[in-house]
Amino acid sequence: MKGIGKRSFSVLLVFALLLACTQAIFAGGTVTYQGDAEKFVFTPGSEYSPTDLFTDFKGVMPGDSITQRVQIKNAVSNHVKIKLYMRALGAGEAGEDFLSKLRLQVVQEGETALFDAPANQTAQLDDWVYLGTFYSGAQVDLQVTLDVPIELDNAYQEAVGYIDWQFKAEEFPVEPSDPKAPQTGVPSQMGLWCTLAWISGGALVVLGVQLGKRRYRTHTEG
Amino acid sequence: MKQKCFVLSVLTICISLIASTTLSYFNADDTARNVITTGGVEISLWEWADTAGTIPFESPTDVMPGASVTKIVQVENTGGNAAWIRVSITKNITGADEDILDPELVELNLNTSYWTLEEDGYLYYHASLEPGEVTEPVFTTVHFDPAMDNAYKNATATVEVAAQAVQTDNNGVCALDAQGWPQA
Repeated sequence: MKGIGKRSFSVLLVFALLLACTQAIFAGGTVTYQGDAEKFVFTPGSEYSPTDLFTDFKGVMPGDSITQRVQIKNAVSNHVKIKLYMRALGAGEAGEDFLSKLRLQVVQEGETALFDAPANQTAQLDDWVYLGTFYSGAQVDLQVTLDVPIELDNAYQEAVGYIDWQFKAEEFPVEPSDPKAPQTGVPSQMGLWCTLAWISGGALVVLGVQLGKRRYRTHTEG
Repeated sequence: MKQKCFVLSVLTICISLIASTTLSYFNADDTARNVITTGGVEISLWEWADTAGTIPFESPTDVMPGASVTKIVQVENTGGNAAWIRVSITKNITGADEDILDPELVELNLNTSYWTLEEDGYLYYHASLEPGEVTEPVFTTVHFDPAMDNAYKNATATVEVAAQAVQTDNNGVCALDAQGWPQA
């Protein structure tokens, strides 16, 4: 019985470690198109804004150059494809001067830069920019790099700046002529999750069977 | 004829439905409000009258030549980022008749194991001070030279310590390398 307990613990530990690794891959902001009443869901948010995608741009210091990613996903399950667009609405008035000192670059994975300008501007994202057609489960990463000049002085200590990004989705039904399960950007992590679920489920079944056999043996011997 | 009309109507409805399914689409938009914040550097200067750091230093009176007074000076990083630290010390002695007297007769036991006095007059702390950390004392004792004569009777001696900090991130490998110190 002790052995089974230990083995169960080991399996759970391995599963927890795998889960932790997977979570690390998912770090960064996420834009999920749900397609239902919620439409877009922005995570993780922050104490400053519930829709904040800039997970790594807090407490930045002069001379910092930080890159984080923003993942965009089509989570609609009913085989709907979406055309996705984004644009920048600019900076909030309060932090505009501060943001004008910083440089922001947004690069869509495998593409050229979508935006490369002072952070307060709308620049190349002034109008809607087409990000691609996303089938159910597809996702793409944006790499966002923030450069803080070393010359930023004490006037900008503990400064806060807001940048609004707008996303738009147009839904279309998947046509029979569409390529089968095409992926835009990085393939979905769904496979990994399913594999992990199968492995852990299988391990639990094996353990259950072993436990049952042992109990049966103990019962019959007794 | 009626049957033909019916078939045509049904066909028209079907074609309309197919067309609407193909052409019409839903769309949605939403806005993410993203936030960038900067950090900061914050320090506090502490002067204690005991080694445990529980009794704040208060200026003593009626100190005689040859006496030593405990004054433990430390700097604490009260901000959220690591910082390089430096301090400047200004000594003054003013006689009872407002004469300016020799400040060198007030001696400090500077802690040169952790602080280095540079040509610019500042004492630089050897290590980067992490958030929440406190430096080793700059000095712990103020000694009044026995050579003080009657000119120093009822005089007032002051030892002023000013501390400065600058970020460690992206800013050199030691306090002496660091740029961006506040202007005096």
